[in-house]
Amino acid sequence: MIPAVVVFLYVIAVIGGGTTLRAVSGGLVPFWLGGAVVSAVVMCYVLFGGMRGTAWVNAFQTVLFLSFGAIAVAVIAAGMGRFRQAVEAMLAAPSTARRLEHFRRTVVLYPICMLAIWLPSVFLGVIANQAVDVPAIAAKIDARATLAAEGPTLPASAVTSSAPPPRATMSSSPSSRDMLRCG
Amino acid sequence: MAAALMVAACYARHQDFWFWREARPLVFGFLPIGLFYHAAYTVAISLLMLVLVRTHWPAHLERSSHE
Repeated sequence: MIPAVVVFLYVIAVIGGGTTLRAVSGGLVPFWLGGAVVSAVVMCYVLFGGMRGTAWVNAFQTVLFLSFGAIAVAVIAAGMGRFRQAVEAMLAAPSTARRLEHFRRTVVLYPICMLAIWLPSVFLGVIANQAVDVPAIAAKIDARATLAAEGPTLPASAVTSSAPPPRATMSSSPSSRDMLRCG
Repeated sequence: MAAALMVAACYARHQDFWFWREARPLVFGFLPIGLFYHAAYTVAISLLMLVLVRTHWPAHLERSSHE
């Protein structure tokens, strides 16, 4: 179920990217190429950025969406006259809210639709958080524990340089501080 | 009044503090109990909305818009 939901989410994003690039380029960029570009960009920041990089990209995108959403509301309202006038015209229109009945199903099903999105996402996060058998993650956990226990007493070379620290357990990996900085 | 109490009870149940640090028992063998709680909570909220829509829908607004 989880892969199916995730695949649908990403297919929508790829379709949207391909459609948008084709529209803004006036057809110069074909649909398949736009989708391929979007896929390549997403793969780049997920593969090279990891979970933290992906989270930062998502945070940036959210700020971007909200900002441009606010700009769109202002521009559209200005195009319709003034915002207050647009709202009053909408309220005065005889067709407005004539079918209030249509919202009944939306109100009831909205929580279920949200559940279909957040449950797989959170579950994936839970699974990823348990993946401690990955060597890089295990090294980071060790480094974090070492730093928490002995951080103030670690030699300066172990904290400031990338030279192997004198500890036997850390001999094959960068210093504890470096591990945390990279993560 | 009953609807208001139901909404208040649901709101209170959302502020859970149990199952925060314990994943087990795993529901269906894979789903942490805290995650399952909130999934079940979401379904319960949907049912609550169904009750509210059926019993407290502002139909008078629709009637007035027809007139």
